[in-house]
Amino acid sequence: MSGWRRRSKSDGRGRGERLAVTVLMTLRHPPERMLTAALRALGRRRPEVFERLGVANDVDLVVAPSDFPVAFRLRPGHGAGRVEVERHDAARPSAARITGPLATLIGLFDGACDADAAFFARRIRITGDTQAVVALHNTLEAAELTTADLLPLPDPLRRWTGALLSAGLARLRAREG
Amino acid sequence: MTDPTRIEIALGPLLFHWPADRIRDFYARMADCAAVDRVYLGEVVCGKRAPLVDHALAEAAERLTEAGKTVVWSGLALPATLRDRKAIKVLSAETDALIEINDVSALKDRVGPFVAGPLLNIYNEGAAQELIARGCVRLCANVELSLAAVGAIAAACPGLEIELFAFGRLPLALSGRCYHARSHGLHKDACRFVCDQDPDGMDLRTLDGRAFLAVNGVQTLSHGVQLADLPPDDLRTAGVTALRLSPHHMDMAQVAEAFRGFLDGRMDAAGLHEAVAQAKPPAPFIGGYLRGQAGVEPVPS
Amino acid sequence: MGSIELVCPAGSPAMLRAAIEAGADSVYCGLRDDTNARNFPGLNFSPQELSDSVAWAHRHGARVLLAVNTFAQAGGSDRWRRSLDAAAASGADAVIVADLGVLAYAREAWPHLRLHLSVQAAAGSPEAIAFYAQAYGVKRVVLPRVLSVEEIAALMREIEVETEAFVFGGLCVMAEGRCALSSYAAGRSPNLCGVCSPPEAVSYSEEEDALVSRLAGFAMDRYAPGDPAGYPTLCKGRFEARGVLSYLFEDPVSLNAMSLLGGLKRAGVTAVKIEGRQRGKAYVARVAAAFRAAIDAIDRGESPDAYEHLLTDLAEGGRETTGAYRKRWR
Repeated sequence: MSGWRRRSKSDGRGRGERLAVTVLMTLRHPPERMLTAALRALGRRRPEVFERLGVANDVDLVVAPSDFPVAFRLRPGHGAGRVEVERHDAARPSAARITGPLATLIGLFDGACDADAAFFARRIRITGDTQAVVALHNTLEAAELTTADLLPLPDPLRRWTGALLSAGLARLRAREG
Repeated sequence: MTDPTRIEIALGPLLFHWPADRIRDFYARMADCAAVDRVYLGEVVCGKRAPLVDHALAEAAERLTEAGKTVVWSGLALPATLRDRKAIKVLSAETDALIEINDVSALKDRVGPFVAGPLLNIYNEGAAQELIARGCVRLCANVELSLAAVGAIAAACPGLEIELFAFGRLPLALSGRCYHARSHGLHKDACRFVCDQDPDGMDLRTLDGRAFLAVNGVQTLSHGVQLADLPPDDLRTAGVTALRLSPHHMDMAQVAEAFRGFLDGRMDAAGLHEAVAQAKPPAPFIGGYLRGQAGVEPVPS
Repeated sequence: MGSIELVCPAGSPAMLRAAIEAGADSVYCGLRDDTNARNFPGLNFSPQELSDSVAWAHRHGARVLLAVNTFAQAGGSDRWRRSLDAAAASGADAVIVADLGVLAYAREAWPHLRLHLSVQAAAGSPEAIAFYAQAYGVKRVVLPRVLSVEEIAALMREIEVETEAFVFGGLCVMAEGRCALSSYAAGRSPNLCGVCSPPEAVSYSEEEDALVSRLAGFAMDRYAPGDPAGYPTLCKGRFEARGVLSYLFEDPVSLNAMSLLGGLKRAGVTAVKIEGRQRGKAYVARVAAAFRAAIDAIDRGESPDAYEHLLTDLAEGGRETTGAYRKRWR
């Protein structure tokens, strides 16, 4: 599975990472609320995006960055859904699970990364209901979202923050090669 | 007096490349088989084979006609060469006998009645009506159609005779490339007719060894052998007027007799399975398509 | 527009705009249902999006072709008629159709709607093309991918309709519109449902350090660690015949016929078509720009070779072919 798990088996580093998981899980409510608010704001601003999602609206999709202490569980819910933070080894069922480096996963969201290329080059891995993932992939492709849409900020502020985020992520991806 | 609800039994065109002698013997045996009402003759898969079998088929036609069977000439499904196109033109011009059309190119010149073969993509009543307007008297349903879909077509096309592909490996695809030749390291143009090594098609397995498909020259077939064991009353309700049995290298007379017994109510589905299995078909039975499922699904036991 | 019309795929309004901005002369798209042969979840246009996109395209000097190219279902042909109605209402420049019943409806209800014949109609001979032209007034035929350039040139000498030839993207090795491999394994095929090797039947599993792709449980291919993986399209799978495992039907490569553009132009082909409605905006922008440059180069009397390798890394599995266009393929 993820490089995350493997690293936590080694000495010293493992203890630090287990601490990070604990801290992030304890403090998960603010980011969950923020991401859920962002999803619902998007639902109000761009209802056609959720219409396009179709069957993927009513299932749980887990995004599990391999280089980040926690994973994200997304339920689109026709624009009224929610985002939760969970442990990587949370044994809750989901329709599909997507793993890969965080910068790559965010790049999939805003189209900076070509999902097909990333999948076939095996930089990301997808397990579970391929149909839900295809619906999500095609919807993101059509929706022209930006990293800014992950933030529930008012318009001009959101776009400005988004531009900064995208630039930062691009630099991060370039370092990963 | 023929019973209008009697479902007849037809032998489909031989899809495989058999030597002329085997073809002659086969049709001689089928001429004597009372259970067969109609026989389709002609090379459907690969125009290169036609010259090798034409003579044997012409003899077979005489023999079968003398024995009182209806003979229908089947055309090529995917004409690839100028010679193929000419053969189709000749067939379209045939006025004495009924012909089966397996490629749209034959429709251009056809004046007169014809059978629409299962290799045409006729999937609905609108398309069937277009063909009826041009002389189609019988449709052999595309193998992908469920019995329900066949029923919908029949309901909208009263008077159209409907055949169902009831036995044999299912024709699934055609290509410009010959996979038989390719598997022998050859090219279609210099194929040495290696397809004659596999009288029921060449088995194709997945990389973990599971039987899956079969290759017959440019044609890809199912590995499994279709067996339409649905209740005869359901068939009649769906407007089916004939069952088509696709010839395999086995006792096809026994298969035809088994289906006749099943259609006449002398045998149930289990009896049909057993009687046909005794004739040693090349693979296990499947029956998904007619039930609206994936074609590979086995018949319920 | 140059001497050859460049026809590009659009899986969404955003992709349509990207294609036209990159130099496409026309784009083709489908509605969000099984009346078109790329019926993937989340892909395609609503009727409103179609109307808006047609208006946008026309303002930018481009044409929109609506694909209604699957075969109508028995007892359920209404959806296909509604798709044609939507095409007419939106002002689309043509519809791309395969089914005889749908063609008949178009001829009767929308006689002024330009009809293009889909590759799914498998009209590969002059006689087949003439049949559709005479019976339905079809103005253009999309050629099956199994014809070589010489065969196309010969065909052009015998027919009176325009032709459109695929030059880039996924390659179908079986006669299109007549292939039931997908429905045999997985219950859905391009003919009736608009999908081949449908996503819901796809699974990947890790087996002994390799990744195995499966369709409806049947193993299609196996990838060693580090090898790029592929989508388990049935005819691109690896199979065992006569004891030997190989890509019997076709190597998992993509079509790139840019080097043959000159030959296609000389053969009299009206338009070249890029496959890939499901490939996204970045893909269509790159491919459209490359083929735009190539066509413009040919029109100046230059070779398109400079632009060919711009696209190599877009091919699935990283490899390409000129397909059947060169006769060696058979």
